[in-house]
Amino acid sequence: MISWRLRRTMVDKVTFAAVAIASIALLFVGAHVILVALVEGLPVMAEKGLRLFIESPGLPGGGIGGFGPTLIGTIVMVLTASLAGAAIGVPTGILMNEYSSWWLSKIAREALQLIAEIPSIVVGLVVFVLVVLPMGRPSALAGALSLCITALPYIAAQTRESLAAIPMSYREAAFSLGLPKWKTVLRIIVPMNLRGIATAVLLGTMRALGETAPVLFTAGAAFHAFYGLDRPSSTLSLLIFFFAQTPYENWKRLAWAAVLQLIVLSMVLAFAVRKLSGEVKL
Amino acid sequence: MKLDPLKILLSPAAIALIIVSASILAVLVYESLNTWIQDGIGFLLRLEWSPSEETYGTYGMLAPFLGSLVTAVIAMTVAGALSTALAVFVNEYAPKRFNNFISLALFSMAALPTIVYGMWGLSVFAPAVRQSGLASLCAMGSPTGYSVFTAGVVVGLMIAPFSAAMVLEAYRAVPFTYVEALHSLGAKGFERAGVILGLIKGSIIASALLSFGRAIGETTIVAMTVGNVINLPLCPFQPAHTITSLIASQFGNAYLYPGLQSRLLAGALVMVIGSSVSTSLGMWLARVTARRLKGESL
Amino acid sequence: MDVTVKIRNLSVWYGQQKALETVSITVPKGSVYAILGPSGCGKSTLLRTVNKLILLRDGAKVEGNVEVFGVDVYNSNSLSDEVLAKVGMVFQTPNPFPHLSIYDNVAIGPKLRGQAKGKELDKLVRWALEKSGLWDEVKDRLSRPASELSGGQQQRLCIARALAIKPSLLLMDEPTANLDPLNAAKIEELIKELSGEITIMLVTHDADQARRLASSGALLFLGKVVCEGPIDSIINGSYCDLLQNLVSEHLTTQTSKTKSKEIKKRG
Repeated sequence: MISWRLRRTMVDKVTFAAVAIASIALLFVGAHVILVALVEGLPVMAEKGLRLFIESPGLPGGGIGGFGPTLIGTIVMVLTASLAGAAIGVPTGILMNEYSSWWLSKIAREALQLIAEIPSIVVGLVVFVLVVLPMGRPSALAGALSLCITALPYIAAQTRESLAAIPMSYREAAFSLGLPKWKTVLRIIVPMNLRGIATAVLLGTMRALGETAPVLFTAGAAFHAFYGLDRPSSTLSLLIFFFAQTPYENWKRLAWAAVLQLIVLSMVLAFAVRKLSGEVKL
Repeated sequence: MKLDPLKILLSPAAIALIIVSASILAVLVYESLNTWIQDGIGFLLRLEWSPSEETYGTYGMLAPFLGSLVTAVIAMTVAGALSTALAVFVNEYAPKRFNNFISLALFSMAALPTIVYGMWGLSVFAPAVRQSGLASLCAMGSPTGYSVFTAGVVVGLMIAPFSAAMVLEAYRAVPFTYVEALHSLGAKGFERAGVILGLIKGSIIASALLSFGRAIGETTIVAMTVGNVINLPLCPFQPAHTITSLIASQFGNAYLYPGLQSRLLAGALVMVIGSSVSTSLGMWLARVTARRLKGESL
Repeated sequence: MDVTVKIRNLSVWYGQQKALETVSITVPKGSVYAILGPSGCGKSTLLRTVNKLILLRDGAKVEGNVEVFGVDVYNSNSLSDEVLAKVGMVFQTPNPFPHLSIYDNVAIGPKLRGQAKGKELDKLVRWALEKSGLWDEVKDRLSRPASELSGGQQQRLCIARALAIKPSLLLMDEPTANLDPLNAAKIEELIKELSGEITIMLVTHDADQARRLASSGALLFLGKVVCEGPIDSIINGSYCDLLQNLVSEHLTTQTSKTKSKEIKKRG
């Protein structure tokens, strides 16, 4: 009996140690990822100051330069993608919630599910075939389209979910006013849920900002100037992807600065989302 | 039936979305049609890779196909083990006041873009793997630290917060009365965890399937850490390719090589199917498990 | 008189909210002791202080003495584990582990404690199932999942699970509340049979059930014991009558309140 009790206590202690170590290791990696970015990126930011956000990258093996044009490209593409994503995703989300049993809603739900499950690189390939090849060159527009498609499922699903979360009593009160359905939905239900819709769009923006694979073949790799919507451009994540894998120290340092910049932007968006609507699944 | 103005207003967006998803499928199928007609499933089973700009080259994708599988299995294992351990730690051992901190940390980790994990894998984890000397376990181990193992682990770490959120939710959804019953029987932490993990087995498998689906399609991290060599992944510390890393490194110039673009898109289609099946199965299982758990508590 | 549980000046808080206030009760050995009162008066809380399950609740704080078999369970950690190993519990909703087999559900307690193995464990499981009157119904499907049983059978399985650890004290938290009258009667029969052998603390809001089963008990109201003693004195005593009226009045307003709350929730 005693030995049994001892064994149980020991197994319990070992289990405790194992799960504690695993949990701490996981959280440590998260902290370390951010810490390394700070250690590598902050000196670059300190050294370059605001010029980092204006200049274009230095020559290989030369100075650090900056990611000014890429920042413009990122903002243009991510904003275009979010706006287009909102224009398609929000109405689809409303439709899927307000007419959940209509055939079009059902097809839309399946379509959305499909896009959500497709690896984001594939979205880039399809846009490459449909847009880049006919245009003869990658462009900010093609990049924005790819990002828009990757952000769409998040925007639509979150819109639908936030509408579904409106308490039935409010919904009943809205419909008891005797207005036609379109007025009730557009003038009362949707305004009541502006927060949820803002959350949805921000979530989409965050996705668009963080993605690399969809823009790999669609946005181009123009890091030295922003040439316009229909011309090759670049995003921060692309800059990191290309520059980090080169042997040039100055480009690697620029990539680290871009990593830090990207972390800051993503965190700001993520915590804005959290602030807006409490617990949200990313 | 009267036409509903709201439906008319909202429908175009939904139709646009449906067109987008239909054209994704259509492009994948149409552009890879050549491969399927000429070769059927053969390109997936062939090893030889000899590109040619003049004639049709041979593009056997067996190695990257297996590379994708091995990488995804490693990632799934890492994410599954860590998230299950975290759920047990949080619910059975850690003081309750840690809950908020842990969920905040997981949220922040989930918010980090994959390229950030890729950068960490490239400049922190891969060098660590190189220094560890683990590569010497393989006949053709990677001298650089970039390997299937490296890619799988980093992808697993990136996925872990998502999978942990799912397992934690399932663990917390276990009706409190079972927890009380276990305590009343005098069960210790690991014994309670054993019973409860058995109870939410479905959710854990579901989260593993979702992890697998996510890992199969992950491109950025893998392209930065897997080593990018066409190589059968016979040993985890070998450099290799996955379908995604192959696409990332080859697709840009694929139009120069007759037949390559079609092969790569066929590979992408296989990947889409694999990831879709895994994800749908996972979501279905998660729903069923959640419903059953709710029903049984009554 | 032998005493199984002696509680003195027990107060329990959930955060800022006081759930029990200076409760003192004495549970004699080998009897059925009823804890009566309207819903939300602290009955379940009181029961859960005996085997320390109360500490699982968020922000629960316990003050006072709870002696089980003469051991103060909140102030002597090493001993209390041994003491609590002799306390079984049955809950309001039948809660057998749905993914475990009927056999494993009964065997889990003794298995975890290393009380029995192999043939001995088989015997113990059979004994517990016979005791709970379930053996004849399940002997041919011991390896089937417990979730296949009906609600009444599940509750008797839970009783078997609690009995399998050979408890000297059985805590029962409204064990018939979620059962139909027929199954409730079976459980009551069971409690009667057990009452000679072990001590049972039975939480119930049904005064008739208490009269049928218990020999003594306590009436709780808003977290306080309003009277304690032989069961008849509690249910029929003149002093308690007055309180009973108060209680039932409060009860009706309470239930109408909670009902309207529920309606609001459902929206």
